[in-house]
This record gives sequence, C-alpha cells and structure tokens, in this order.
Amino acid sequence: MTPAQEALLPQARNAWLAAGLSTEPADWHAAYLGIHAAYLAAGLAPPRFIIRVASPWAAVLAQAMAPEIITRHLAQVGDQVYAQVRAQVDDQVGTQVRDQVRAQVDAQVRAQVDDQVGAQVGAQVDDQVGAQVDDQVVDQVYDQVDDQVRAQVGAQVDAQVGDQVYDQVGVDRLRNWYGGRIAGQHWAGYYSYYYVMGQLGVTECHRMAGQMLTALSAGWWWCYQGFAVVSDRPAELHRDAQGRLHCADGMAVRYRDGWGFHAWHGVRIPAELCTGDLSLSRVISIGNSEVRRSVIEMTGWDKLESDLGEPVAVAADPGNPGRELALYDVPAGLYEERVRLVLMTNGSPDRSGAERRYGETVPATISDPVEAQAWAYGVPRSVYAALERRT
Amino acid sequence: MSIAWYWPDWNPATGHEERKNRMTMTYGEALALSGISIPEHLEAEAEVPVLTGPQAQGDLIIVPLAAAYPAGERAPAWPRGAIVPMDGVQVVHGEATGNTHWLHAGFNSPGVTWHRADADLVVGVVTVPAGQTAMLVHTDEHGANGIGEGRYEIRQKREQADEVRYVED
Repeated sequence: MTPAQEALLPQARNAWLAAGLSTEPADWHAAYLGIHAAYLAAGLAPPRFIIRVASPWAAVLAQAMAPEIITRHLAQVGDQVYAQVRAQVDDQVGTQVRDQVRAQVDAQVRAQVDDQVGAQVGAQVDDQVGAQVDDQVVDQVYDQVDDQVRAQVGAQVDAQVGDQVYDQVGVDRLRNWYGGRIAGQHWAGYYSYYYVMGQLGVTECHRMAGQMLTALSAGWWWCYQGFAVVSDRPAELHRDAQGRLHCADGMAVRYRDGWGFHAWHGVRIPAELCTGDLSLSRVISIGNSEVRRSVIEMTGWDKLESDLGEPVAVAADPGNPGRELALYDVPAGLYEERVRLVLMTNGSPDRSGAERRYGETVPATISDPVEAQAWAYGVPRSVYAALERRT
Repeated sequence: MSIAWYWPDWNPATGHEERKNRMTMTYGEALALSGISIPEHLEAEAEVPVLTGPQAQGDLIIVPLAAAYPAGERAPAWPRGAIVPMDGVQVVHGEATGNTHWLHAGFNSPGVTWHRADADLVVGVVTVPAGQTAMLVHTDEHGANGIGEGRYEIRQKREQADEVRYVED
C-alpha cells in the first residue's frame, strides 16, 4: 500500500468505531436515502413505506404489525402495492428481501475485492505475486480496521442487544423477527472493511453505499418487499475500560423509548436485580453463575453482610489500626466451589470520605482471617501478620 | 517534564539546598510525582513513612524478598531490572477502575531499579540501594507508601471464586 493508503486505515477504523458507538439521534432523512439506495443496488424497487421507531424492540413489533396495517390502508385506497404486501400478511414468513439487499450484494462485491485489490495497491506483477499481495492487503484491512471495530461494536453491542431482543421475543412468538434484520450501525466492522476497499479503488463497493449511509445515520433496520422499518440509535451506551457494556447505576444501553438493559462488565443483568435491596437468598436463586457473580460484585459484599450470620472468626487487621478482618462461611450454592469470605475495611477512606468495606473469597479450607489475607497475596501468614502499614 | 511540575513547591532560591540531603517526601511531593491531587484524608505537608517491612497498598503488597517465601524455600534470583525513569513505572493499571499504582524513585535516589516479573502473583521486583528510597503511589484513595533500602516483591491479590481471579482496586 502507498503511505496515503496506509494512513487511511486508522482513519477508517476511528470513523466506523465512532459510528458504531454513536448515541446521536438518527439522521432519518439520510437513513431513508440509504435504504432506498440499498434496495436499488440490489435491483429492487425502493420500499413504499419506511416506518421509523425508537428502538430495536419497537422495530421487532413494528415489522410484525406493519403488513396488516399497511394492507388495511391500501385496501381502502385501492393501491396496487396491496397485493405485494398482502402476501406477507398471509405468509407468516414474510417476504424479507435481505438475501438480495445484503447477501447477494455482499457476494458480488466480495468477488470483486478478491479480484482487484492487488491491482489497486499498485502490484503490477504476475498472478502468483498478485495473489499474495491481495491476501496481505485483505489481512491488513481486517487486522487494522474490521477486527478492531467488530470487537467493540459487533461482539459487544450488537451481540448483547440481539440477545436481549431474543430473550424478550421468546422462542414461540415473533419467530421471524431476525430474518429481515440488517444491524446497520452495529455492523460497523463489516462495513468498515468494504469502505476501505472502496477507498482503495474497488469500484463495486459503491453498491454498498446505501447500506453504509444507513449504518452511519441510524440503528438497526429491516427490509421487506414494499416496506422497511428503521430504528433510532441508542441514547445511552456505557462501557468499561475494556469496551464491555457496563454501567453501575442505570442501563448500559438505553434507547429513546426507554427500552434497554443493564450490564455489569459485559454480563447482562435482569432489570429486577438492579433495583431495591438484594438478599443473599435472592442472589443464590439466580440460575446463571456468571450473573450471580456479577450481581454480588455489583451489590458489594458489605450490603449482604447482615445475611451472613455469625463470622467463623474475627481478627485485628495487621497494619490497619482499629479495623478487623472477619471470615464468614458463604452459603452453599453461591459459587460452584466451596469458599469462605473475608470482609475487611479499606486502609484509607475514598475521596468521598467513606470507609469502604469489601469482601473477597478464599478457599473454604482456611479458618483464620489473617491466613486468608496471606493466602490472597501468596505470602506466609507470619509476613501478613507483620504488615507495618496498609493504605 | 519541567522541574516546576515535578516539584510543585519548588523554590529556586532554597529548594535545591533544602532537598540535597533529604530522603523523605511529603504526600504533596509524592502524589505530585504522578500528577494527582491529594485525597482529603491525607495532609499534603505530612511525611510519607518510609518502611522496610511488609506493607500493603489496596490490592498490592510490598514484601521484603527474603520474607516473601516460607522458611526453607529460596526466593527466585530475580534480575535487578532497569533504573526507574523520571516519569516512574506503571506497576498495575486497573482496567475496571482506571486507577494506577505507580512506582517512583524518591529524592536523591537515582539507583532504584524495577524488574517486571508478571509471574503469577508477583508483579515485579523493586530494588532500593542503601541511602535511597522509592515511592509506590496510587492515583486514588491509597495515597503513597515509602520504601526504604532493600529488595522487595510487589505482589497482587487473588480471590477464590469459581476460578482463581486477580483482585483489582
């Protein structure tokens, strides 16, 4: 690649990351134009109706109800599109056109990328070397752009929003909600790859321009014969330093109609576990061990302390004058391994002035709180007992 | 990095003379090494205790090398590592909280070295020559711990849940 082509890669990565994680209100006009262009690029007539909604969940409902509403309206006005959309009401599967809009265009563009990319980066050489250059460029664009955007937007946001919708849909209702879906914004990784290839000169990539415009302007969308549904982007998106969905005091993803969900370091947490006081027995009843662990972390052992009963043992905390270490049995069923819990007080108040109490779990074979702390740091008990200062 | 930033109360008339033979540091001076403000529970003018025994800073423990292993077990022959640069070294960066434990050389302590081990619980080894000091500084509530002459392992904490996990503050 030329230096100018190389310089494009981080720019494209950053731009598509920003688009994938954007919480700006949708640019509806641009989204409609993009949808029209995407249909045209697939050789289809643009949809007569585009329904805009605030969230993917609303879109799932809208795409299920739309054919009925549209045909009722069209029957009254005697519209010729009636029959086309009507067919979808009769046929529960609906005539989604994603195969044309996405898969077919993808296949055609991909074939041309494979053919042309070597030539576009100036490798005027024999076929064998040309093929190697093709592979190198493809790898480089994947590594430096697509994979990085995909890891943050696709693997985190798209997958989790999808799982949440899936859980809410249930297995029996709205079976086909997924068929016509194009994740738009949340396929930023996918589009970033073809965007770069287009910039490198692979002409066929222009056929994806409509989809890209929609991805840059709105959230998920659904494509059907005669109509499309498009969702807004989220209003809030909170992540931890590793890019996992995370919010300690509210939904990690929230759309403008209030739909969304809670997450703790990438683990989705049911909303009912995020409000009100939690008891230890409630935590134990959570079926999923990852959710259980996350809820404990989120709540903090100090809040569950009163449910723990009497400690197994208490000892002065070395180097932390006036404070104690307390060792508790943890009820069976909380973790798969049997563990005990040490509750301790921080050596220093935090910036709010609060003296934070927190708990950490140790093997259940330990029965002395000082030994428990020594185990945690992997030092002999005598060393921890001689701690001169804890901050 | 300018001198004024490094030592915020630097006085060109007296500063150098005053510090020439001083080993201890105040919290104000120690936390300025990492460019952070003083938590309310600490007094800027108070001296950071310089210790040679074991001490803990949140999820990290500073253990004299000889004491870190049970009687009869030899400590590994850790390399000395490299001189701690002016900017310090980032010992642990907490991904979850964004807080960092930094290691800095104290005043008049050009020989302090750091070897990153990343071996199970041992994050690394700090070596402080005679007459010199090192500072472990936390970017939030834990403030600073002063380290006197000796060799020490800096270890992190683990937790036994369904698997053994590292603890982060």
